[in-house]
Amino acid sequence: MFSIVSRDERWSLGSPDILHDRRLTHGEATLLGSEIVATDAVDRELLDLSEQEMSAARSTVVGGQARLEARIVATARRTPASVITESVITLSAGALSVVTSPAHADADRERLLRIAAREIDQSAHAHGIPMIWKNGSASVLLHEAAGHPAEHGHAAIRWPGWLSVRDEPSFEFDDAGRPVKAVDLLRGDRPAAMRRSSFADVPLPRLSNVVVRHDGAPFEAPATHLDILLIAGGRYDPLTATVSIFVAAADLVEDGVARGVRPFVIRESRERIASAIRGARGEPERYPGVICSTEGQEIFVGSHAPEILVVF
Amino acid sequence: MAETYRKRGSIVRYENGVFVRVRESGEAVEDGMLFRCAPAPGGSDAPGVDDGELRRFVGRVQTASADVAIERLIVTEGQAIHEFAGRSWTEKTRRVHLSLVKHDRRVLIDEDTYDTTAIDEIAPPFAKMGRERPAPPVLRLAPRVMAPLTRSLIGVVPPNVGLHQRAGGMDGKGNPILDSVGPEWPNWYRPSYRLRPLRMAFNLVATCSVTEVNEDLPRAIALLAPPQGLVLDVLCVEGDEVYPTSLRIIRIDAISEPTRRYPYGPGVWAGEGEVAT
Repeated sequence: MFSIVSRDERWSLGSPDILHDRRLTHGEATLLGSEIVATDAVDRELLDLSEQEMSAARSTVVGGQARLEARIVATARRTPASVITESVITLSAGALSVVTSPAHADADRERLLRIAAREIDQSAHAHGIPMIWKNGSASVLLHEAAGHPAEHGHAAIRWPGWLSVRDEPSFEFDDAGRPVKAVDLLRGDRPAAMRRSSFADVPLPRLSNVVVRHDGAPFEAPATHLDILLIAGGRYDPLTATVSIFVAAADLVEDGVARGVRPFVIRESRERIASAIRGARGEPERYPGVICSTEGQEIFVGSHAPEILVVF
Repeated sequence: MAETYRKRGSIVRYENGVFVRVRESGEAVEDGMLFRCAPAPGGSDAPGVDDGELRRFVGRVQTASADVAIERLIVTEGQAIHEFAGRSWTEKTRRVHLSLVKHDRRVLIDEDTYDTTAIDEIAPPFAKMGRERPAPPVLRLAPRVMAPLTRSLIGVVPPNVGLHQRAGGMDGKGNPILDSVGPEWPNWYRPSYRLRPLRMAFNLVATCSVTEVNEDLPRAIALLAPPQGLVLDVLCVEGDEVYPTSLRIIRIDAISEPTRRYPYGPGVWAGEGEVAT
């Protein structure tokens, strides 16, 4: 048996804050052989827990002065093994957005506003210029290039020996009530956690928390390079093994001077991405921003990476 | 004044090997700027769905697709009772989404009936598909290719082509769907109680001043990817040759009378098209 309660609110923030949408969803699902039987029955404890989550998350975003769009999703879910709560806050300024939590909402709002305030007067494309993936954004590149192929059970390819990309769930039991463990995505290990977006969805092996690490591959920033700051989205086509990354915010840095670059798209095979990764530095940094959609099921995936140098 | 909408229903969905049976009931309220929705009592009274035909259809799809691989098969059957502004109406829905793959290509098939004709027509040529070629300068688009393209024409429709809504059925506020030429569409689309209703064209039809399509032209029989505006990746048949091609439509020369309804948004009726690239 799996039960879930989900609360979803959309706000226009500023002066005043305006609530546009408020949604409550609840239900339970039972797996009977290859059949899932689901109803919208309510679990009262989860109903209360989700309200506590929503209330706490809401208090971190309303009341500020900045004009932003906000979506807050607070969920409480129960499996035979555990009860898990989660709050996911998406803050948007035009085409830019961050995905954050109550604990990081203030810092991520400031980061979003700082990035949104940059002047954009440059164009760039993915080839011929070194890219430094900052703010943990390399976790999105490797989510697509290593994580999704592992979900699909695709064979491992050759990656730099100093690179590690693991899925490390932050919970003990998945949405099917099974214990989970960390897996090595570069070795092609399938994510251990079965996850579902709602009671009416089929649980699928999905990424939970992508952590990129390195071991002794330092680099010096080239005099001319792109700093990758925010990603609008990513996609992996399992049929062509092609990765698409939609870069929302990047700076062209020339001799220490940074100028904003218009959004652009990187579209490469995962082998090309593996061979383009040249170095890494620093500790893994939390990237504010991955809502992953597979089979129409949107779930939050934690994402952490050090600064990574990539040259296509 | 607040408007309240209620829906209760059941759906059976086959999704890549798993059957999902859902029964639920919900209420949505639009109150000025605020939209709110939540489950409501009555789910246990929702009409049930007999999934026998769905299960047989899944088996038939697997047989009909024998020459190629099924990447994704999602079949849904639903039944719902809607209530709004003192009106009550029922709705039955069917939806089939199928993607077939060969090497690094996928064919997309979307239907609102349990009919394997499309698979019978597409799978054998897809299985013997050759290398990609440049698009022919003029070609025919099968109705199932014209259908997803039709919504892309809104706002960019050329002077020799018209778009209109065909009457039939009920909208998301319980009003009859009327004939309309837009651009202010009279009806409301509400695919779920969890979504705000939007004014949209139902049963959208594209018509052209010329309805006779040259049957000697190469024919795009299926989509290989969702349309990107007027850019299409299609599976093309030219004599005995079958090949994938990518094309940008620069002109629509003819559209035959619509023959079938397809489940894109609140429905599209499509006929065969003749286009220049």
